[in-house]
Amino acid sequence: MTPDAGIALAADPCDWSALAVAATTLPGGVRLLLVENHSVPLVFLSWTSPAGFECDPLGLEGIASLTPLLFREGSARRSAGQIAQQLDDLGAELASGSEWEGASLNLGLLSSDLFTGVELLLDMATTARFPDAAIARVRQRRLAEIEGRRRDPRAQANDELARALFGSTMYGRPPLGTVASVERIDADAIAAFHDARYRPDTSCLVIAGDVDGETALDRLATIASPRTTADRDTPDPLPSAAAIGIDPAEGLRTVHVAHATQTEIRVGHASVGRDSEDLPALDVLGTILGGGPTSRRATPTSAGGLDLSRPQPLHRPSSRRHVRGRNARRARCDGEGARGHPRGDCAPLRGARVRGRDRTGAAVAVSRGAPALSGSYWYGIDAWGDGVAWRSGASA
Amino acid sequence: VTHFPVTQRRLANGLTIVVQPDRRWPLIASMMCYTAGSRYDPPACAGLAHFCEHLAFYGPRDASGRTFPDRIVHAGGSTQASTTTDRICFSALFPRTALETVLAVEAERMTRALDPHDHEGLEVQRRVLIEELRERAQSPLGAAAFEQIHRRLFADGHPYHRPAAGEPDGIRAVTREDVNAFAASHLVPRHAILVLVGDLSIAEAVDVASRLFESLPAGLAHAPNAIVGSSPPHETQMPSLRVPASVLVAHTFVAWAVPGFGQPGWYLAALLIRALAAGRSSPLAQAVVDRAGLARDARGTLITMRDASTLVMTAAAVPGIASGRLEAGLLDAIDRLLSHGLPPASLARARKKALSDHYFIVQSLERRADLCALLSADVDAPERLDTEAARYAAADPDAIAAFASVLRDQPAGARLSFVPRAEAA
Repeated sequence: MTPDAGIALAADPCDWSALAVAATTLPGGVRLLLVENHSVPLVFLSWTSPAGFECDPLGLEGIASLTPLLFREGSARRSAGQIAQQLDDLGAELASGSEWEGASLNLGLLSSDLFTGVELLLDMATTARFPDAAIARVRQRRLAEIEGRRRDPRAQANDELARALFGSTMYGRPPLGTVASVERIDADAIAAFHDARYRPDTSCLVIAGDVDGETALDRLATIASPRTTADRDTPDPLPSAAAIGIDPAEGLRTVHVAHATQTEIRVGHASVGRDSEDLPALDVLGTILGGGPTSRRATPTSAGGLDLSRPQPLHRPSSRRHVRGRNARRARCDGEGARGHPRGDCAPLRGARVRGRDRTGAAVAVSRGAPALSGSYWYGIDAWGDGVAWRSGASA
Repeated sequence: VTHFPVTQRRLANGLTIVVQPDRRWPLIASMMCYTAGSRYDPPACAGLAHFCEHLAFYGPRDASGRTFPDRIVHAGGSTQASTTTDRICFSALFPRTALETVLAVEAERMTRALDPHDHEGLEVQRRVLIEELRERAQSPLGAAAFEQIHRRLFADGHPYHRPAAGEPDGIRAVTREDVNAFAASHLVPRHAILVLVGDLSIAEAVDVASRLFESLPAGLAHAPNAIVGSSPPHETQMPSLRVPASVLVAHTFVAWAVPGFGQPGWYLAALLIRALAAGRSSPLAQAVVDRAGLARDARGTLITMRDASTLVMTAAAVPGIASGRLEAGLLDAIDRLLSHGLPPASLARARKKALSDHYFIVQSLERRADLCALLSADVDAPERLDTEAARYAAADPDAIAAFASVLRDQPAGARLSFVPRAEAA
């Protein structure tokens, strides 16, 4: 029998300690968090800036989600080709993206290349260049994506629910932008957005993996960010996000999507922000109601069909639902099963009654009109900073 | 470097148990893997293994109405299933306290995988499977492309000729008796490998598994309808296939059959594809994207299977470049790259990429369990988990160059282009 060598054993299976996080500030002003994990010779670097969708300027919706797509296109020190070459030489994995509150640039690579990777990541994140040709390419791709969402019932239902709950305020606006707003985004706009939102002194670099903390901190102190706080006089204020006014429209909204093969239903409620102490309880509630195949929402009725009229203890909105500004965070937890559950009949779905609606709730149905539903359905719950949405779909 | 010691045991009924303790978190990843993939589909029922996997994933409901996944999720875990050409696998990730519950589910799946009276469930899954196939067919550049390549690369009757997901006519032809017979023949201890990775000791794993599985009958030694072994791929050059599709620009795929997983040649192929075609700055991308200006993207893929793997190089044309020109340019670039051998820098970065890819797998409990299952099922050596990295580091440059030459001269590559309908017309 092979001994259990090489892996640290915990005396008690439940006695596993929390991760030890070392924190410091690098010379360029970047906040650094460092977590050691020596299980494999890899390190994961994550640069995060407060540059999420909530920072989209009015009229330029979509700019926050477009900007991270351009980090490979060149920097002050490297051309796009040089960035690609170095990433390939390192055998590294690079991913970038954005959410409501922030945007990130993540790099995974062998720990032997840690410092090369840090220098590359800092250069890409802070001195990015935005060539017109690259912007035109991502803009074109984004416009096609927006057009694709218009034909996708699931996306239509999500967008319509956001509009129903939040109107024209921050969370009601489309993170991908609109055709008009995306067409307005040019190199100058992106450079200005990047300059304001990807500042070292408002950003954070996380290093996790096979790294020796003390040695790394000494060495990292010599890798200053290419752009320092001194480059600007004062930090830009955070954006004055549009107020979160919750005044959903009454009634059931129905959107017809030609050629759709699924009917999508959303029921949404305004709720608490991500930093609320109630959020863990809400997550548990979401799991019970719609978080997996054993949830109540997923349990088929005795008739074997979807039955939205079945009484459900829908989440009641918190008295602190009118969260504004940066406290109005949006979390997301999906609960789709690995398989489409069997069963499904159109009759109970067509006759659905939505209970528990009040002035903070909204319901949306997106369908191809008179669906004959059968086959499979899926289910889930979205918990946003200001809304909880139960959702179900059934294949036609 | 952390070591990941693996222990393999066999029960008297043939069930193989692979244990890899890792006690840093109170979690366990399990994988019950049956050597029962689509290669065992009868000719008239392409998709039977996949059908069986769907039904056995849910299993019969217990007294409280719970399916197999319900019971695992109720214990705090999550579960999935998959069918490949060579295997059906049921995987789970769960708190260590749920070990007995999850293994009890797997033991019951071996004895009672299906509800013999659930006619509705069978028909529902038939619809779900046909819908899956329809969705795959709608994305020609994804799974459908590789299915087309395998039909060209492996002769009719070869276990890899038909897609693991099945075919619509085959799914429609499957009967309840077919599914029951397949499950009874294949989902048995003799053909099963149980992998457990995570917060448990070897003794604990063997004890629980022995209690739950040792009394189960071994099952049939040779499954009916099995296609044993593998026939060689095509020995003559297949003509290029042009498929009109809903694509904006032409996409060309060039493929070869290479050794199966874990064989020495497989490691050469894995390094070669990374050296020539991994990343935006790869030699292949430089040739057809940067220098020739024919493609906007070019890359390589290695599809790993037991008896033969598939090495694919592909390019997407820039708008205005016809499929014939793209294919000629891609073939020319490949021929040059395979002829010139590997510069040391290319080999160095291929090794680095292979190592980081390997460690990305190993650092995840679930993916480590998957790799253990693969090493146990295909080469009967799960302990190689700990030495895989060294195989990439030790690969001989001359052997890789020789492998490239063989590939260049091999007449049996499949060539396939998806052509915009406007161009095809």
